[in-house]
Amino acid sequence: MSTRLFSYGDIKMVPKQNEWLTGVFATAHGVNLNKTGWKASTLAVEYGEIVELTQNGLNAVNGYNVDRVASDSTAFGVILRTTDGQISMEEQWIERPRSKTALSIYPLASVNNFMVAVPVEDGEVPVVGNGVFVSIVAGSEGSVREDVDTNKGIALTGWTYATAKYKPTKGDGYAVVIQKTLG
Amino acid sequence: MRLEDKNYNFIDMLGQAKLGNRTLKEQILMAEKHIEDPRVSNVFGDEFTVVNAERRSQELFARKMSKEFGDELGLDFGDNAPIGGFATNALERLDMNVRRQALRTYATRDIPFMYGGGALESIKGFKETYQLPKGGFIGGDTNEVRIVKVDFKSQHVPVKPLTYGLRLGYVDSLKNAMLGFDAIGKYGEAIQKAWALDIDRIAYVGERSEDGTTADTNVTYGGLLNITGATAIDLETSTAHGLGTVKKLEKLDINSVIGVFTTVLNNVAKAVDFERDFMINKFLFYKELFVWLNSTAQNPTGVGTPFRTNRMILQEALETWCETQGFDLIKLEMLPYLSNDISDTKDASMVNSGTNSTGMIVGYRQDAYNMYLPLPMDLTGGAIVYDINLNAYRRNYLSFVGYLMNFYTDNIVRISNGSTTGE
Repeated sequence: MSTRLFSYGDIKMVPKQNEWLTGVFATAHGVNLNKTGWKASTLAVEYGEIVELTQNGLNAVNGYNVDRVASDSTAFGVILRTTDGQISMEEQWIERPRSKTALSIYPLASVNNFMVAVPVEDGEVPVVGNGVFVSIVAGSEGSVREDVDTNKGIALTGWTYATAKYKPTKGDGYAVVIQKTLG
Repeated sequence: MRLEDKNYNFIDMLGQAKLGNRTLKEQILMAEKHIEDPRVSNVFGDEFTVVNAERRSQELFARKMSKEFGDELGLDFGDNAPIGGFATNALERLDMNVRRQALRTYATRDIPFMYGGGALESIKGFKETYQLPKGGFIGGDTNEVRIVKVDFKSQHVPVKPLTYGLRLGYVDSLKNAMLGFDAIGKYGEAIQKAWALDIDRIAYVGERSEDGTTADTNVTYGGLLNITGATAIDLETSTAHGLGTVKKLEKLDINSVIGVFTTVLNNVAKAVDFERDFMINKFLFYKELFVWLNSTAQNPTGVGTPFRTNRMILQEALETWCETQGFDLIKLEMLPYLSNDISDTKDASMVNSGTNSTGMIVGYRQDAYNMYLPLPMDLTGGAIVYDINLNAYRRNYLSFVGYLMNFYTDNIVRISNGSTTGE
């Protein structure tokens, strides 16, 4: 089962600098303030996907509740790439955590200034320095796009593109590194 | 007294010579004469005649068969084997070498095999991908340490059991025992041939022909000659190789062909970051190229030299290219499956003569680090059992074979020969 947002391909024969897979920190300086996330087992989220976060109380066993980004979403986080088991025998890449696994979330409102790689919506061309919008286009929710359009994206306040989009594998999937705005 | 019960040696001859009050030479000459003349009752026993000598040949034949192919029926083929395994008479000599058919297979020559594992369903391996930061300069009092990451992708091929069986009717088995013919052993040989052909198919074209066609439409797991992701070059349409109006290799001058090979190799070397361990070390070519390889080399204006063939100059150019860069030398070998007319003698699914059906050249690295054919269980024969329902002996063979476990496609190049001759 392939992912919705990022299309994987074969591993590139030769690695290049600054080509990170989705859900990976491109820089990670300082204290890690990641959170644990809980999601319904029927919700398939993939590494690098930007998800909606809901605050939980002290009574929650996990940290934030995670759901698909929608037009009314206000708090966001990135699903981090962790070490997870393969879901099927034939699977080549591990593209998502298993359905019942507790997630590792990088809240985008975090005081960390870590850069992180996320999937790019099909056809979008992020420009370095421009503001980041999370897509709410049906089927692409949780990837990033360049402009807001009408009802197509929500601005991630304080985040800009740190790179142009790139292909970290031989597949068609593009990733891009996003960063906190200076200051 | 049978010949095999009596040692015909010096001591015997000497003893018999003394008993008969003859010289040793006389005794030997007499004994030899008796052997040659079937009418003479001889000193080796009443039964020893030319007919019995033939019978002796039959027994030796049967024993040889048993020894070579295994006396798997538990019968003594060598005992009391009558004359007549093949029509013989006193004037006929049985040639005991049964002639085989011609059948050659190539997979073990071209592709590394990895044995072991047993009755598996799949083989899995991993490749790693480095995620590398750029720069790591740091101030005297910061914590900005650049972090690396490594992820992995698994490589998976299914393993499938291949089975073959033989059956030998009980009556036929008795008849074969009478003849001294090891039919089960022969059937076993036939099974090995069928298996070897299947291994060639799996190694070179993978799943092709499993759906009953010779197309690659339903092929997920290909072989060396049709694996997905390899670089495909068509000399008829490619502009990257500097070819003019002539596109067919057999019609090109030596410099142009060296140009084609060098361009291909340069591109592969770049794709594998000039790492020796991934560089091409073998080209397989179609048999028609021999015409060109063995011709005297000519320059672009058609002026030739009688002293050197195209092959010598091409090989020299390839070796120079390799040595200059510290790469392993490249071997050139002919593979019939790359020719168009091979379906006369091979299965149609094995034809891989390129886009223009004029032959194909395949460059790859023959090295188990880059690719191998998993063979979790070699062809293994089960017990020979008598089946009362079939009234026959049955034996099944089983082998577990995986598809080509190919980790890299950047170092596999398939060059389709052109068809335009410029004539």
